[in-house]
Amino acid sequence: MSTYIVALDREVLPEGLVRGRMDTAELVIWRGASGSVHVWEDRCPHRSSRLSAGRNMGAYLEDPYHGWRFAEDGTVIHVPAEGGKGHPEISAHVLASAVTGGFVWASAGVLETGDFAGPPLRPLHFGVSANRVAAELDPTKTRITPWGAAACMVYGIDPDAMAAHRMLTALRRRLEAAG
Amino acid sequence: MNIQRPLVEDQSYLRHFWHPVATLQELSESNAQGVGPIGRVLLEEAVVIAKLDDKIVAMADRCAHRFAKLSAGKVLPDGRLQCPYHGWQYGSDGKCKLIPACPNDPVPKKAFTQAYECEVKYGLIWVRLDSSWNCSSIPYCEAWENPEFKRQIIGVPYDWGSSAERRWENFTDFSHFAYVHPGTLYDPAYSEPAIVPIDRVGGELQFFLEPGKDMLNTLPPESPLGSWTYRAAMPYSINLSIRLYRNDQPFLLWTTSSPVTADTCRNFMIIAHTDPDIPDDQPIRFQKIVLAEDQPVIETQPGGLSLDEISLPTDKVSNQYRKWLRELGHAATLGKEAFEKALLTDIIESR
Amino acid sequence: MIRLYDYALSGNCFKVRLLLSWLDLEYETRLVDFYPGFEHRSDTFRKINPLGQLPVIEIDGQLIRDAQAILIYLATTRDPLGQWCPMDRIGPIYQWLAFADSITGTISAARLHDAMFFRLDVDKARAGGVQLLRILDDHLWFAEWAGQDWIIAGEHPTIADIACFPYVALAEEGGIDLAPYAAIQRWTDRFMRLPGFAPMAGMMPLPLPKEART
Ligand code: FES
Ligand code: FES
Ligand SMILES: [Fe+2]
Repeated sequence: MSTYIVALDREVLPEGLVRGRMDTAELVIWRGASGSVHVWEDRCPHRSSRLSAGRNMGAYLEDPYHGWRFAEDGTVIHVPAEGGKGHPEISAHVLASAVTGGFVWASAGVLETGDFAGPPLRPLHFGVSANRVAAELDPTKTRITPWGAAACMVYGIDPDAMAAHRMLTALRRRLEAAG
Repeated sequence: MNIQRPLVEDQSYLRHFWHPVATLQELSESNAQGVGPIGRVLLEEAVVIAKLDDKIVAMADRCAHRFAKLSAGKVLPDGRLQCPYHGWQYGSDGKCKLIPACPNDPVPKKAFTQAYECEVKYGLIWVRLDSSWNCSSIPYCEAWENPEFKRQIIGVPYDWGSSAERRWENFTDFSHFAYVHPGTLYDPAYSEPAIVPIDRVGGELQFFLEPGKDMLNTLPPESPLGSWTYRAAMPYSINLSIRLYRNDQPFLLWTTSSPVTADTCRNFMIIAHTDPDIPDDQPIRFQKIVLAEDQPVIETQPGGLSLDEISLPTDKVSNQYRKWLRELGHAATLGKEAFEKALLTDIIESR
Repeated sequence: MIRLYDYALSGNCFKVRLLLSWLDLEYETRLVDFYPGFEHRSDTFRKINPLGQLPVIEIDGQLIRDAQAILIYLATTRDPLGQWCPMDRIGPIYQWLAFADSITGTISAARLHDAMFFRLDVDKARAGGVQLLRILDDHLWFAEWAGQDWIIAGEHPTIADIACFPYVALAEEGGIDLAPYAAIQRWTDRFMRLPGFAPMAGMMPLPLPKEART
């Protein structure tokens, strides 16, 4: 079980909900009122709706379908249909995560963040597999997160952000055209 | 990641039910003669619908010769369905009657395409893929049965990127109104639904609900607020009979989802009411808004129902529905008798 | 009196309703049954717009057709502060209005295909939509980096934002996944939090908690 970058720290805004992916899992990434960043599976334990379609209320995340509220630790603190009763025994699917070097890292297993830090590039979505992109890039300057089998997200660091971004977009064009 | 366990392993039991695939209007508007053919997908199977000799028929949308789609062919004046590729001609029983390349030779026995049972009811075309057990019937619809109804509207079918099960659960879900339909169907102040008795009667789930009358003041007048009686023929039909608080008149919302694939469905809607002067687009327009509120939320759910989803007592309707689907799915693997018993044994909780 | 020929589930009509309400203009609506009635293709409506398209407004004794044209007209004649269409940035604004037109031809087309069964090449429409979303996401990401919240640099959103917003926010109704476009999501979030914003059916997430909407 690998550890992947799933977002830039500074892009996880208070009140916002960021959608991410890691292998086949869809993720919701959010910053609670405490300031901590949470990475959960983007699926409500009740009826599997996408939590990222709900609301970040700071102290809790609210599901879009029946309005269950999930506290920052993932537990259910409010079920409207039951008059607001909490269910500490029910929890969102919480992943191990940490913020280092300006990046949010997550893992479905044991978390192992590297010492990867620097001025972040604009994260870029590629419509080709992580392996194909990895073969083309410098591993000391990039980290690649698979988004399913045929897409991935590339995170990078480079002092010349604009030039590096142009290089990445050109690479993307080439790889996607090759199909 | 946690692997999700499906609620029902083997979905083949669904083939024993009647499902709507098109409206009569769609067939009559399909071409100048109004006879089709039109192609539809039901439970992942391609089906062709055509009117041959005044009879509407359904068969597998695949020519026996080189598997061309018969729905791309045409209906001949003599009531045969002709394949677009080499012109084989099929009769209403699905058997090939003529092979133009060798008109004088006998037609081989294997030259047929599977014909399905097909009926027209409520202005809709219904198909049953497997009639070998013959123990299901076309779902109940009150629209033409209750003489109080002066107007029946057959809606244009709409597709959703979600399973028919999810659509059914959404339509019968009491605890989402406050979240998904504030201002159209429900007042956010009323998010706690009643937990009602649920019966199984003649293959239907039946239950009754009375939302608060004071919401009359806050909801738009088109909102069908009243006492709600549900008769939901398994697996995907719902006859929601409403007695409106506003004028004590009956109002019917009937909906049936047709399972296209495991995560897409085509939905048929019939509305019936008592006022012949209301233009048809008025209630339809309101329903369109309600649907537009539901659809994006429901489409975030994965198609298949999962055993790992957590249920509470307030999910009673969904829980009972799932329980029955599971029993039906399992019974179908045991054979006709078990399936018939699972479908038609009544369980009454309401008395 | 301004009259708007309107359809509730049309993103192009929604743009006009948004600006009308932000400019605090009174208007009356004439509902056109776009779907399932296809009234916009009727002979009567074609007298109002020969192209058979919504929206149309009747204002100052003339008919103005086309959502982008209406936005320009309203912003230049009814906005005394000139915030919605600042003349010193008119070049980029026109450019993004044209971009919004391309969005209608791709993302909105995919939605019409999925939600209202229009017959068209949906794969092509989606692929075209993805190219546009990447361009917009890039633009917004670098704008944010430079401290800007909106498509056009400046404190206040403009008609460029209004023109691009609806069909981008509704892209998933056309089967286009928005997950890869984080900058776009932050922008739609900001947009929906603007005071007075009321979402159209099908838009999520709603900006406010349920309590605040009662
Ligand atoms: S699906 Fe999340 S609260 Fe019901
Ligand atoms: S494929 Fe149908 S006739 Fe040859
Ligand atoms: Fe609903």
